[in-house]
Amino acid sequence: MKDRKIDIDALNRDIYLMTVEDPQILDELLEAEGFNPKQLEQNGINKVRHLLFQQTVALKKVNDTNLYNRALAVFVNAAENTREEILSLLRVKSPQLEFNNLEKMDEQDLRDILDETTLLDLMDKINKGEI
Amino acid sequence: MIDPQTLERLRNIDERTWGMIYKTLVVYAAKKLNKGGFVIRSEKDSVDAEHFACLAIEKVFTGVRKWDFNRYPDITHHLVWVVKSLISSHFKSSAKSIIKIGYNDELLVDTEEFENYDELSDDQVRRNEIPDEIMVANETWLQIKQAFGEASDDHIIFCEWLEGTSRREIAKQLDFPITEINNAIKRGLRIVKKVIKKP
Repeated sequence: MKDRKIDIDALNRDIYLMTVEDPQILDELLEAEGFNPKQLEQNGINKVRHLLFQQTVALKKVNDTNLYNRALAVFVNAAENTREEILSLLRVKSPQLEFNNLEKMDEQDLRDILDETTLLDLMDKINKGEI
Repeated sequence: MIDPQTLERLRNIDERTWGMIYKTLVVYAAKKLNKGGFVIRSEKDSVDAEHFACLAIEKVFTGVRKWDFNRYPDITHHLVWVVKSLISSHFKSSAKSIIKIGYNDELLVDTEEFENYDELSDDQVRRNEIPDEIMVANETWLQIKQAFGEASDDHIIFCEWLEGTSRREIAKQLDFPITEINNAIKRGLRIVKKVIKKP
């Protein structure tokens, strides 16, 4: 018998297909490689749970930041009557806050107001194009 | 970062399926790392198969290795492919170009370096792919043959399979059920594991 070349990727592809056809073989091969199939299954589920949570939070953060910036831009750039409309909305939502001198409000004031009011409602309206 | 549509697709896969996918990736990585059992690993950074399964899932979830679900609807196929490319990259970066495993067996490929691997598109990676082949020495074949003992059918099936004939083709040629072919291959893989030991 001569030295012979083996295509490892072709073998691995076929082993993969074999395990798809018969999941029992998957566990047998894992055990032969020294792994605990049940433990691995749980590790996989935990890993995916963690990543799903992490990525959901990350996406929400980006989305919220975008909306927040848009909310601020609406305030800063809005025409006088639109600003009044928004402030009326805020007064209804948070009557405990005082909105006296609109012209003197800087960005930080607006951030504070937004933080203290139902910001998500406002964002939602912006998102839906209602403001 | 991942896009919301892809994340939703991934979320719709149930946990039991994720468990199976994870195990599939670990088996694939283990076999790819030890070249189907024919090679004793010798990279400087000898990380285990589970590491690559985790890394592949992470890269897909974070959008680094984007899952084009319209083109490749089966996430397992995509992840297996990511594992494969990660391991190829690992071999290249751990300076494992040629290894000796005793007798005359040696790794023939995996010598090319790619920088910024994650920045390459899937198509670029596929185009740059190098076939993963090993040369198995005569002495090793003889040892495998001896280890099969009286089960000559199993030995023939295993050798045919190693040489690239698909399981279905072998089953058809020999008129054997596919389960018998699978059993012969499982047996062969166990034998290879026993035969190829650290010197």
